[in-house]
Amino acid sequence: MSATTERVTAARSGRNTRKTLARQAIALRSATIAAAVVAWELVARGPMRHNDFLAAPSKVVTDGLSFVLQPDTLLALWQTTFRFLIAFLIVAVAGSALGLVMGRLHRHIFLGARDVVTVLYALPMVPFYPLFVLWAGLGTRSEIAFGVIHGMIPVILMTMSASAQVEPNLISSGETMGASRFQRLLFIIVPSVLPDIVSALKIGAALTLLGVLLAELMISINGVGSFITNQITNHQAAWLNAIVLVVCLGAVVINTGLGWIERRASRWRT
Amino acid sequence: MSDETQISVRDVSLSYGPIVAALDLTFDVRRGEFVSLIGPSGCGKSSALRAIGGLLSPQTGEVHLGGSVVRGPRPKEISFVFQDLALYPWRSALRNVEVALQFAGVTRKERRARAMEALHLVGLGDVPNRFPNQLSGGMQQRVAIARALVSDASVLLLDEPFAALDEQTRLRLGGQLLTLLEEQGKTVVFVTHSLSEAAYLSDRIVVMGPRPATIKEVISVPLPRPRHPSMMRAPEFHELTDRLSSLLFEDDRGPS
Ligand SMILES: Nc1ncnc2c1ncn2[C@@H]1O[C@H](COP(=O)(O)OP(=O)(O)OP(=O)(O)O)[C@@H](O)[C@H]1O
Ligand SMILES: [Mg+2]
Repeated sequence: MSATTERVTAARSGRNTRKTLARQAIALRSATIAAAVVAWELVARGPMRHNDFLAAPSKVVTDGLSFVLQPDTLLALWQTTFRFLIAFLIVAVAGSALGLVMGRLHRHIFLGARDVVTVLYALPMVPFYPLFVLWAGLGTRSEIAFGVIHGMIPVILMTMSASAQVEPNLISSGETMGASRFQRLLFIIVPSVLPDIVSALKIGAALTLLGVLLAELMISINGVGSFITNQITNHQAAWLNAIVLVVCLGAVVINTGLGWIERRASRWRT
Repeated sequence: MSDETQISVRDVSLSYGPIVAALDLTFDVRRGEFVSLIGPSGCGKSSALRAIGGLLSPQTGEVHLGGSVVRGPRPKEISFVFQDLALYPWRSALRNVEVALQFAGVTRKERRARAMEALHLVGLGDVPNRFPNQLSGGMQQRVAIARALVSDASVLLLDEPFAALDEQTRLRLGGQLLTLLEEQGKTVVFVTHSLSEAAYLSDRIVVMGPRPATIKEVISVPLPRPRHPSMMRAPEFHELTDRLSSLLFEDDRGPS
């Protein structure tokens, strides 16, 4: 066998080992999840079988699935999804734009603004929800507003910190090449903070969803949150768990999607 | 090179808040001339270059370019290579060069062709699509040089553009750059730590003292143009580098 063939064979077997390793990793991960589901099933059928609020996974799927597919449930899911999407759109556009601009303000104005936003971030918003209802009325508008306020603040905070830290020489070099103020914002500052904005949006999305659900759970006439409240009053454990699972699923989808975008956006970073 | 003065630095003092970076710098650069700034680290070479480029306003004194006072960047007349290069890491090599033309308002089609040509000039025609983090230090420096060369500016400010290279490559690339700049008739202010590089490339050398920088001496290089590597073996060359190193070591009172 020639040296070349040997090298090719070695490379191929290396590739095969890598493939095998990847397959093993996936198998191990799935097995861990499966074990958790089995444990849940056993606990729900064994020591906790008299508990009203814990249903076995098998029951969640058999009873819950048909429940989730009922028109009422689908409507509630759609209402919440719609509120979330509108709120997140506002967070993504307004939050990152505000953060970008605030980060480029005069150093001391920036620091003052950052203090204000930091305090807002630390503040629990729940006690203010009745105020939101008074301002925006009961229903979709106040729920969207509550989602926005939850998601917006961390997005502003993270974006403004990143935009204040853009390498000064990158901006100077833009000036020496004749970039206008707007071109510097669009072609230097935005791309250099884009990975941070996407990371911020990942956190912002989770908190926006939290805000919308909280609003629905507290004072609301429809949507997933108010549906959950109803199932608690009706002692419908399987239904409750089913809808909670659907919410989790939605959150995982959003998080995975944004994580994918995040990796793509930060490829150039080392 | 003509006798016309293109850049004139007059009694310029520079500071960053309380930190004084340079005191009373005065020197001229003629059109088409290659002038090097040398001096110990931290003495204010980069700051002097930033002042010429309009990025740092003098505390006192003035910088004149083509007869008028420099008050800010002049993209049409000056291009700048930063000490840290300031390449845009999210753009490929080609698009890093293109961005200079984009900011200058050149059409998309024309800038692609011109940027490619500039990359060829610095020997990177084969890797236009690599990102800065996929290029070696020396290749990154050449991308930055291509970005500065692609514009029509007549003045080129270069802050240690070959710092990441070994002495041989640095002199070889410096020689190639020199030929290129002579062809294009560019005026160059060049910051370097390498005495042989300064001697080999320059028409004149501005020697700066330690912090805060003052000018110790301005030396004319006695070698004819065009330069050739064999000139580095000439006795004048060795006399010159000896003189430079004694000027620089004069103030070196050893580690303090
Ligand atoms: N942005 C800045 N803020 C404050 N001080 C600065 C700044 N940039 C430079 N300095 C100070 O100004 C002085 C001159 O710096 P400069 O960068 O011009 O030196 P240099 O001669 O280019 O050094 P080197 O050869 O190491 O690049 C130094 O004392 C440095 O600490
Ligand atoms: Mg420097």
